[in-house]
Amino acid sequence: MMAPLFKTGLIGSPVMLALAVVVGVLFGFTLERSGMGDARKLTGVFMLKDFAVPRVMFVAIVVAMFGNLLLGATGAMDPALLYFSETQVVPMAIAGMLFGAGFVVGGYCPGTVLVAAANLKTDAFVFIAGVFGGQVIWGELAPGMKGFLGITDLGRATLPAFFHVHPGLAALGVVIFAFLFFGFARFAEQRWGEREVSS
Amino acid sequence: MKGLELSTILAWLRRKDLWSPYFGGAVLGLVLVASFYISGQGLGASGPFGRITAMVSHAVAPEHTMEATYWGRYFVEGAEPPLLNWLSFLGLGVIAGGLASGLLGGRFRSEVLKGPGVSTGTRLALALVGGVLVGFAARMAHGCTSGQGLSGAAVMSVGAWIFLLSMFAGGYALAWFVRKEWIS
Repeated sequence: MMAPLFKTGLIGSPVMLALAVVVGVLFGFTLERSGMGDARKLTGVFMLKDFAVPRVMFVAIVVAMFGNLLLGATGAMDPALLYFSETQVVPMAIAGMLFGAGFVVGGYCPGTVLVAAANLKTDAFVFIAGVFGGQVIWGELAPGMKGFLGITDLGRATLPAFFHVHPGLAALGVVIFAFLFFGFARFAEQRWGEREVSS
Repeated sequence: MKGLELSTILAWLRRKDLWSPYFGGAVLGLVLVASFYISGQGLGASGPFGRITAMVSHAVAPEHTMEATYWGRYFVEGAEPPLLNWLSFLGLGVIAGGLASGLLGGRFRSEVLKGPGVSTGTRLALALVGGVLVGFAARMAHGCTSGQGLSGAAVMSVGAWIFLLSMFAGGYALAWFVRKEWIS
């Protein structure tokens, strides 16, 4: 097992941090080039007008999911070393809904707002100020919410382990879900999307 | 390799039209695999916001930060410097990459992005409110659209999928009330 390169010790901290900048550049470039630096395009999914956000996301998820599975199956990368956060069902569902509400009201999320701010969008700078405000509030309230935040804790839970199925089958489920969503997006855009005005 | 000269690549990078979301998604997926392959972590964006908040909080009110806030963990004995990590340096790259794409594509200009039916003042006020909600929720969920929505979902984390589906639910629940902010 060679990878993850940093966790197996094949590269040290300075190389890892340099590569982080390189990967970040590719990430930021891809986001901007896909239209993810524009609050109007980002919120199009919630207006049922433009489904670029879930299309980009679900294609990326499927590609990365199979990429990881392939690297794991060939022994190139140890899947047990990949980081992901633990699951607390109820707090994460509530956080997700608050986040979605903030997304449609503010127009951005933490990654896309960096791309928008880099291109001088004034609303992005104001959103960033809000994010820092929200983080300060979190920092003050979180210690008092400890009990609530620990409920419905499933630990390091994955879909295949949770549903007792083979990882390949869980991956297939994700693919089917993505394609069903693409079908719905196509239908919604035809029905409610921006249409060329034929005079 | 006549067809793939530097000038051809430059011309492609300077095109004004956006990528198809399917192409952009595929590229993003490969970048995400590279992120896991190199660091063992996925892509993320909310991390450095928290680390910067922690450092400011600690500089302004060190005792309060250590005893009564979430941020104390970054300043205990033996803790790594808050910004010397994968996600913080990734964030620097995101700004540079987004800037490069915007400059090459002709989208680098000072403006307020909003629908036609809302005033600039209202749009900026709503941007602030949305930012507060997103900043709070991103910490509560241990990540944002990138850290949970992309990276966690790609490694089939249960919590990430709960977050992702709840995010769309929360957005749709409020969409009707803020439609004038975005569409005519």
